[in-house]
Amino acid sequence: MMRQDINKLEEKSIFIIREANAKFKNLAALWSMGKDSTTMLALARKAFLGKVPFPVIHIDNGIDFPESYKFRDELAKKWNMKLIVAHSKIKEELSGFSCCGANKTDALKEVMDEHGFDGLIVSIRRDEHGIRAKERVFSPRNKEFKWDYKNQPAEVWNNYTSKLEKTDHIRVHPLLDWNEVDIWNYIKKAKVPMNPLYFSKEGYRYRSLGCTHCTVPLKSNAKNIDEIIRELEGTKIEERSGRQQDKEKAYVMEKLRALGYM
Amino acid sequence: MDKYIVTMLGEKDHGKSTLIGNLLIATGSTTDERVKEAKVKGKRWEPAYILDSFSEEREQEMTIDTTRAELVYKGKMFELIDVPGHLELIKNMMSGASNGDFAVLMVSVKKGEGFKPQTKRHLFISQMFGIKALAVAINKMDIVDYDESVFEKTKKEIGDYLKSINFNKPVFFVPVSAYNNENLVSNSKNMKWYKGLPLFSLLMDFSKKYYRSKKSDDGVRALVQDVVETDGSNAMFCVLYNGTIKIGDSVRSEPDESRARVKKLHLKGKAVRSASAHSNIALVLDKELDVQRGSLIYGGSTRPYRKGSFEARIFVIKALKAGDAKSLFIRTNNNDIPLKSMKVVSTLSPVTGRTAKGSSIAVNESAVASIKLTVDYPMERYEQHNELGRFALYKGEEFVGVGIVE
Repeated sequence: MMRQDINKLEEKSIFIIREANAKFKNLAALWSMGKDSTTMLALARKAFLGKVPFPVIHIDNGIDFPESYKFRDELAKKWNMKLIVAHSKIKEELSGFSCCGANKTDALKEVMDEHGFDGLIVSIRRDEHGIRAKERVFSPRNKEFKWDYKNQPAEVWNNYTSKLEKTDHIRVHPLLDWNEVDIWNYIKKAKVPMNPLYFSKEGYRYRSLGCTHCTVPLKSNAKNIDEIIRELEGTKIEERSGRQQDKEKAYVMEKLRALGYM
Repeated sequence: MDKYIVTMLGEKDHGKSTLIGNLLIATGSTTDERVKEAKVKGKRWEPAYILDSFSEEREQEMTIDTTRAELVYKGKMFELIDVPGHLELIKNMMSGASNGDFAVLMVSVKKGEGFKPQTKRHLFISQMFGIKALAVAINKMDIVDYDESVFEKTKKEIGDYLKSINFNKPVFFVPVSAYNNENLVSNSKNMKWYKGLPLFSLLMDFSKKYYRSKKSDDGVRALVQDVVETDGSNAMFCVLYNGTIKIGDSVRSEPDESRARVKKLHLKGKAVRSASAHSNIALVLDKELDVQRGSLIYGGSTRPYRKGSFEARIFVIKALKAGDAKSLFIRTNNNDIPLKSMKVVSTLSPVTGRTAKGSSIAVNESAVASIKLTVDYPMERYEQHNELGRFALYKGEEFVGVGIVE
């Protein structure tokens, strides 16, 4: 993995976040307390003179890591963010497709409905998955939260689609251009506070964070940001290899996204 | 590090996705896991599956929407943009192609394929979008027994067409077999008659010779994205597209032309004394101007080129008549501005290269049009200030074309 020009990435993301804030009446952001969505919040603070101007939503199914809950509460306080916790209903099978699909998506629908959000910032990156490489910066979702990936709107230069008659809301993706190593490079440069689960403990660390049921740690001795960057620059293993949902079946990610999953 | 953006152009089934898939594998830019995942049971291995990750794309063996893949090799970084070749998917092609630095055009020499109208449209659009150099990959050479005369004949046909549309960028031709990995990263033994560089070396060469960021001149151009009240005064969030702006500078605003001085300047959350082009700033002036989203703050020795009316080169994917103007709007820097009128000066068919007079534009045709907007929105010439001189054209919710101010 090679590093991109971090300043260019930062400028583009600030532009997109400001654009979203100017275009939507009621904008919110999803926050999983992972490295990407936390980096996005750090960028939002740069864009808006030190404040995060929109509420941040945590979709909580009650089985996140204790470290994540602690990190969430501390940072929400420190950065003075308006935190909305949306509790998902636990259904029988708590892993992979059905968990991320029904559980989290239903909770998201409820909270979006309740607050009437018309724009939602989601911190996905193109390099995570072949399906995510096809996303637009502004991506409409219909009433069922479906992604009509076969008929996406045109997005020529920076001309985004922020309203269509049949949309429920627009997903905004300010981090599409970033790679995993860029995120870490930025966390280092901008001193972004980070969830401790990413750093090696007893020979293991998490590289990508879901909840406790479908995320497994990988063997790693990377105890700090520099060591993580060095590790990533030499790896050939996929970032989400510790996430079950991607592997269960071919195209499961596409199905999840079509169903409204992040 | 800089990343060079390369758009793949060409008709469907001429091998764009296959080429990218094999380039990624040959340069070690993809993971084993992704290659394994891309294998489809009971089907011949197809490197295109690495890119075509929608289930429908693999089943129908076609690219539906544009995708991007990063390629890292010998210390350089490229982003390859795969676009759909189908005629009806041209809006997706434009979405992918609008940000390209270079382009690779794929033309297959298989019988019945060849240099097609859709390929010509792709070339025309990429010239409008301002690519800096073009590599033409003449593909499927294995099917014609690596016959040099087939390569030369296709090369001449494409060369003649490029002349007819006054294509003014550097062009290089390379014979390849994308599926068999020939002349992609190393020269093929089966085409010893070809003395030029393999395709990927051409791209490496492009990045050294033809990639230059445009130098910004002294004309400050900051487009207002939002106006927000902070600490009792109005801060303008702007994109500084050109020039350098400093505390104390005298600036004016379009469209109302009033004047003020820069009092405070913020860059990435910090107070600064100056900011240079291509940054997102927050600006506080010493007096309140009548400024809103879409206003242009300008300074230095030049004034904005036009406001409210201009002449543009457009390309449309829907037929347009003179009477359609009232239902059209331009979207520029994400601002929607309705048209008052549009007069077609001349039309140009990218397929035949012929120009004509007329008041309407046919589907997939280009035209020079004189456009009047309903408000005095400032526009620059595309050549001079790319970001402020380009727009997408919409009719209601429907995307109908693109344009650049001439």
